[in-house]
Amino acid sequence: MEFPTTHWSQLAAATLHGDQGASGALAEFYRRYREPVIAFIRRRGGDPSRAEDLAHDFFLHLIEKSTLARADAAKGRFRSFLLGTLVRFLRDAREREQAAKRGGGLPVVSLDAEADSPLGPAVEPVAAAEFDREWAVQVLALACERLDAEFREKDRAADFAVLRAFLPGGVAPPPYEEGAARLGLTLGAFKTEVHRLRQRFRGCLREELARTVASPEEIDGEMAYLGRVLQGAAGGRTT
Amino acid sequence: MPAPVPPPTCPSCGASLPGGSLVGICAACAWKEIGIEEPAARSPEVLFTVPDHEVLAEIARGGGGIVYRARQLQPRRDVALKMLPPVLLPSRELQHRFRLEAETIASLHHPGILPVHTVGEKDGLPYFTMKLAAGGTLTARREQYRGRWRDIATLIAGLAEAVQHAHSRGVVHRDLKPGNVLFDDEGRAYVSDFGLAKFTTAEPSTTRSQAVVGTPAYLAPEVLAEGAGAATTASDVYGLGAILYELLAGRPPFGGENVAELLRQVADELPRAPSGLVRGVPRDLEVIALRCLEKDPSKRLPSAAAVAEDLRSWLGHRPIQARPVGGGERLARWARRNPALAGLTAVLAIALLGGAVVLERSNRRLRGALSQTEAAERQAQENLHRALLDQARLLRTSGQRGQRHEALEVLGRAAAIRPSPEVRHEVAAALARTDLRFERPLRAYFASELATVEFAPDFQSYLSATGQPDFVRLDSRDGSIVRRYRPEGAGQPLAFTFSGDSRRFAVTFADRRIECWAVDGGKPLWVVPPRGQLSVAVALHPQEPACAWADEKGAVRVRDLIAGGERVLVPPGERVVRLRYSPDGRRLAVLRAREFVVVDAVSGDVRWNREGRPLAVDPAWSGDGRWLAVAEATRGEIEVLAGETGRVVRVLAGGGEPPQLLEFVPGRPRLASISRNSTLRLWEVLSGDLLFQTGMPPRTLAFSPDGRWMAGARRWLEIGVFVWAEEEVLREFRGEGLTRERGNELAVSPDGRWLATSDAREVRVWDAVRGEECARVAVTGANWTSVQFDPRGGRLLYSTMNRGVLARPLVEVAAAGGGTTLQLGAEVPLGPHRHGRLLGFGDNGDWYIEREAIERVVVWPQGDPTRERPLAESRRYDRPTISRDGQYVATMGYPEVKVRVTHLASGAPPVILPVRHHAGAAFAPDGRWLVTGTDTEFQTWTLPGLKAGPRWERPLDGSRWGTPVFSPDGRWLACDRPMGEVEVRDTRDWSEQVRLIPPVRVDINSVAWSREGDRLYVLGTGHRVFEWNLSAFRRELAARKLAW
Repeated sequence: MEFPTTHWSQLAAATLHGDQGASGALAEFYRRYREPVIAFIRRRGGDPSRAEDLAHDFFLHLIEKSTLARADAAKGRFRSFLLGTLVRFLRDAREREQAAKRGGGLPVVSLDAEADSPLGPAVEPVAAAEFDREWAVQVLALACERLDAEFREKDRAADFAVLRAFLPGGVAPPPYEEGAARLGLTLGAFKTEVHRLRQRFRGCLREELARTVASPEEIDGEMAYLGRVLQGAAGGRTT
Repeated sequence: MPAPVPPPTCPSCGASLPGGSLVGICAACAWKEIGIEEPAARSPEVLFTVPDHEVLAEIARGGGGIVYRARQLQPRRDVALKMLPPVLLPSRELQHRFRLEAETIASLHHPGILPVHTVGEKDGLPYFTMKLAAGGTLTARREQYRGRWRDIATLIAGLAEAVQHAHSRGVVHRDLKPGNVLFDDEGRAYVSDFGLAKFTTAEPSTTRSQAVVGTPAYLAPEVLAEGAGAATTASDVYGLGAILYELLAGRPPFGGENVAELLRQVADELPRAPSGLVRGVPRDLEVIALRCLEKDPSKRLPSAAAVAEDLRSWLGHRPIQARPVGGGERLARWARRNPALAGLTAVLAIALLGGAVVLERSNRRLRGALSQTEAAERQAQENLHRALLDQARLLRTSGQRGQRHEALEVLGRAAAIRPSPEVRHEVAAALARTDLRFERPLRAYFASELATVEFAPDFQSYLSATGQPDFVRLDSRDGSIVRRYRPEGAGQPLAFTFSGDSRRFAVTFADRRIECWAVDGGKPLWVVPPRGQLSVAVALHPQEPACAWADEKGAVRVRDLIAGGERVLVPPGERVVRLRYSPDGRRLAVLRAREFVVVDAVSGDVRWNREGRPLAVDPAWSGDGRWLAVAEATRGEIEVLAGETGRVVRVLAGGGEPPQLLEFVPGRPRLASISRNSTLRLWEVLSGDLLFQTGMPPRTLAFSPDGRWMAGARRWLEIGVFVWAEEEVLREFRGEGLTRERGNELAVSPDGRWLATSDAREVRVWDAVRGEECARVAVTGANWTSVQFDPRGGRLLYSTMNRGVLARPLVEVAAAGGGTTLQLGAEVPLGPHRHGRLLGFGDNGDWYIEREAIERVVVWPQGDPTRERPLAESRRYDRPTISRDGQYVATMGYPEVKVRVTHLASGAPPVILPVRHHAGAAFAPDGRWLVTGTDTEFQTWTLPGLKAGPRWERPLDGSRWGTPVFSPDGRWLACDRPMGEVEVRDTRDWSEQVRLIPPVRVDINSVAWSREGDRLYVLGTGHRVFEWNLSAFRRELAARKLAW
C-alpha cells in the first residue's frame, strides 16, 4: 500500500486533523490563491463584495467537502484543478440560487462525484485564459513577496526598496548610477547586485511554481505557459 | 461625484499595472524578460536538468520522493536521481539540513549501502544522486525468495550489517521496507534512502507537526505514534524484522483493509507466526523475525548487529540469541507501558481518512538569531549524540550480552561529542550490569556429539574424551595436555565427575562401566564392572577417598577407594539417576526417577525428601552448602531449596525451557543455567532477578573458585573460557533471605565497617566490607523501627514507639573464613520510659528522641537519659526531623499535609511551608538548607528565612514521598527516584551530577551515605541492600573523561 502525497492533500489532511496548525495552513492557502479566484468571479459579473463572499464560500467548500483530498489523483497542475473546481462551484451556486428563487426542491449536484471524472470539468477557454492570467500575476506577486521577505530576514529591507525598481518588468527604473549611489556601491558592484537580484527573483518564481505542480519537470512547462498567457494579454490590450 | 481614475498602464507595453506587492512592476513585461533569461530549449528526451546532470525519465514515485533515471555528464554515467516531490517543498532551513544529512549519508561506505554521489537543490527542491540499481526492488523480487530460507537469511544478514554500519555512525534509516532494498545488475542488494524519511516530513524541532511518512505495514509502532522523529535504531531493527517476516510469510506482518485498520493492527496485534502461514519456515528464523517485531523497543533484538549475528549463527548451524517471548505476556506488557499509543493511533487514523499519510502544518518560521549553518551543524552532532545514547540504552535494557561492554563502547563515542549528564547516567547504568566476554578457546575432542568435558572444581584443568577409549586432562590456561589416561576396558568415556578437592575423578563409559581415578594416577583406583541396563550414577566424596554409586537394585553403596571396603548407604529402591555430595561431604543428594532425597552421608538417614513433580538434570549445591538447585523436568522451572531442610527458597522461571546444566557462582548468591535449547541465564537467587542471558550450547558449565571465570561453549564444538565483568560499581549485599516488609531505616557505623537496617519486624546488621549479613535481632509489635549506631562507637541502637530505645554491644569475633565478624551482645534498654523513638544526633552529641505519648521531641544531652528535657512539640505521625546544629525542627504531619519548621532558639511560631503533598525532609549538615521531597518534586529552602530555592521534578511512581539525603560533608544530595534510581546532586548549584540506575527494579525505602561520601547504600523492600561505590564509579568516569 503506497500513499499518494500532494501538497493539497496534505492540507486537507491537516485540516481534518483540526488543530491550529491546520487553520494556519488554511489561512496561508487562502492568502495565496484568493486573488485569482476573486478576480475570476468578478469578471463573470456581479458586484465586488459578492465576489469576495463567493470566493470565501468556495474555499470553505474546498475544505468542508474534502475536495482537496480528492485532488490526489489529479496528477498535474494545481492551477487547472482549482479552476475546474471553481467553475463547478459557481455553476452549482447559480443553480442553487435559481432553485431558491423558484421555491427550491431541485437536487444539488454533487461536486465531489463530478470531480472523480477523469476528464475533469469543462471550462470555457476564454474564462480559463482569464483565470490563468490572474494566476500568472499572482505567482509573480508571491515571488516578489518572498524576495522581499528574504531581504528582510537579512536586515536589508532598505536595500530592497531601492533594488525593487530593477526587477524584471520594473516600470521606468531609475538610472543604474542613481541606484548605486543610494546603496553606496560602485556602478560595477551595483550591476552585479542587480544581476543577482534578478536571478534570485527567477528562482523564487520557480519555487512558487514548484508548489503548484506534481513533478519538477512540469515547472519549465508552467513557466513557459504562464509567460505566454500574459504576453497574449498584453498584446490583446495594445492592439 | 468624481470620475473613476483609470488604472495605470505600463508605458512600455500598455498593459494595466497590478497593485499590491507588484506596485511598479508590469507583470507582462516581467514574464517577458524572465522568459528571455530562461535557458534555451534542450533535447526532447531530457525532462529537466540539474547541474551536471540531464534528467531523463521517471522510474518511481512514492511518499518519499520521485526517482528519475539521469545522465551524469562528468564523469559520464547513468545514475538515479531522487528528488523531494514539489508538494513537500521544505523551508530553507530544512533544505540546508537535508543537505548536511545527505552529505553524512554520502559518507557511509558499506557494500550493502547504495552509494550517494552528489547532493544538490533545484528550484528549492533538494535532490541527491546515487548508484543506479537497475535490478529493481525487493518488493518486485519477493517471490524469488519464496521458500529459499538460506538465501533469505543471507540477504537479511547483509542488510542488517549495512544498517549496523549506518547506526554506528549515528544514521538511522527510519523507513526500512522492501521498496528501499534495491538490487544492481549483478543481483547485489543495497539499502537505499538512509535517514531521509525524516526529510519528507516537517521536522519536529522546527515545527509542531509530527508527520508519518512511508508505509505503515513496515513502520514500528513508536514511529507511527510519534512520527519519524521518534525513530531510533530499534525502529530499524523492527524494519529489518518486517522485511524478514515478509520474505518468510510471503506477506507483510500486517495488512489491514484500510489504513485505519492497518494502524490498529500495528499498534495492538501480534503478527501471526509465519510458520502458521507457510509450511517449513525454520523455527529460528521465525523467532528472529518476531523478536524484531516486538512492540516494545527494548524487547527487540538489541541491535542490527545482533540480527545479523543471529542470522549468521543460523546459517552456521549455531544457536541463536533471540528467544521467543510468550505472545499474551508480550502484548500485555507492552500495552501496560504504552497506554497512550492506541489513542494516538486512532487520531492518526482519522487524519488519514483523506488518504494522505503526511501531515504538514504550514510552518516556515524559525527565524533564530543564530546562523542557520551553525545551528544545523550543532543539530547534526546532537542527533548523533542522541542516537548513540539510544543505542546504549537499548543495549543496556536488552539484558543480553553487550548490555555493559558494548553499551560502554557506544557511550565512549557519545561522550566524545559531548560529555552530557545523560552519558554519565548511562555509564553508571551499564557499569551496574554484568556482562560476559569470550576470553580464549580451549581444546576439546568432540568426537562424539554426546561426549562432554568436565572442569575440575579448582578450574586448573579439565577432562576430555578423545574419541578413543583414552581420555586426557588438559590445562585450563592453554589447553595443553597434562596427562593421558588409558582405561582398563574398551568403550568411550561418556561423562566425568570430580571430587570437590579436584584430586580424584570418576568416569562412566559407554558400556556402563565406572572407573575411579586419582588425577595423577597411572591406573584406576577402582573399577565397577558393567551392570545390566541401569544408569550409572556415581559421586566422589569431596575430601575423602570414597565413592558413592548406585547398584542395579537402586541401592546406594559407598566404597573406600584406598582400603577397598564397601557398604550400603541407602537401601534398594527406584532407579537412581544422579548422586551429588554436598560441598562439606556431610550430605548426599540422591535423585531417583520420581523422588529426591538428601541423606546423611555417614548414616544414610534421610534428612529430607521432596516428592512430587519429577526433577531433571544434575542437582547443584552452592559452595557453602546452603542451597541446592534442581530443575523441574516438564516446565523447566528451577527450584532453589535450602540444603538443610529442603524448603523451597525460590523458584526461577526457566522461560519454558528445561535447563540442562546448573551451577552456582562461587562466592555470590547467583545461579547459572544453560537450557537444552542453548540459552545461558544468570539469576540472582534470593530475588529471582534474571541478570543476564545469552546463547550458549549446553556442553559444559563451570566457574573458577573466585567466580570471575567461566568455562562454556561458544559453539557446539568449541569450548572456551569466558570472563565475567567485574561489578565494582554496584553490589547487592548477601542476606539470609528476603522478607515481604518495607524497609524502615538504614544506618552506617561510625567506623564505616557495619551497616544496620530495619523494618517493622527485625533489625539486620551487615558487614559493609564483605557485603554480607552478620547478625539479626527480631523486633515485635512495632510499626516502625529506628536504627542507629552509637556515635561514640561500640553499640547498636534501635528503638520503637512501644519499647523505647534499646542498645546492644557490638562484639567483633573471629570469622570462619579469617578476619572478623560481628556478634551482638545482650539487649540493654536505655532511659526510664520504655517509650519513644531515637531520631538522631546533634553535632554537639545530643540525642533527639520522639516521644509520642507526651507529643514532644525531647533531648538527651550527650545521650544521657537522666537529663532529658523537652525540645519541641510533635504530634502523632508528625515525623519530626532536627537540624544537626539543633536550631530547627521540621515536622511533616500526617494525614494532614503540613510541613512546619520551627526555629527553636527564637521561640517564634512555626513557619508553614507551601508544600502540597506529603514530604520527606532533610536539613543540610551546615544548617543552611532544608530540602523537602514530595512524590512529584524536590524543593530547596534557604535557612534562615525559608525562602524557596531551586526545585526539580521527581517522576511519579506511586511511592509515598521523596527522600533527600545529604552526604556527611554536605557536598552532595542523594534523591530517590522511581525504579530504584538515585540521583546525586551537587549542593553548590543543585545540578544533577549522575543518576544511578540499577539493573533490577528496586523499591527504595531508605538511602544512606558512607562517612567519606564515597559510597551510597540503598535499602529496598524485602530487606535488600545495595551499595553504589562512587569512588570506583568516578574512576571509571575519569578513564572516559566524564568526571564530574
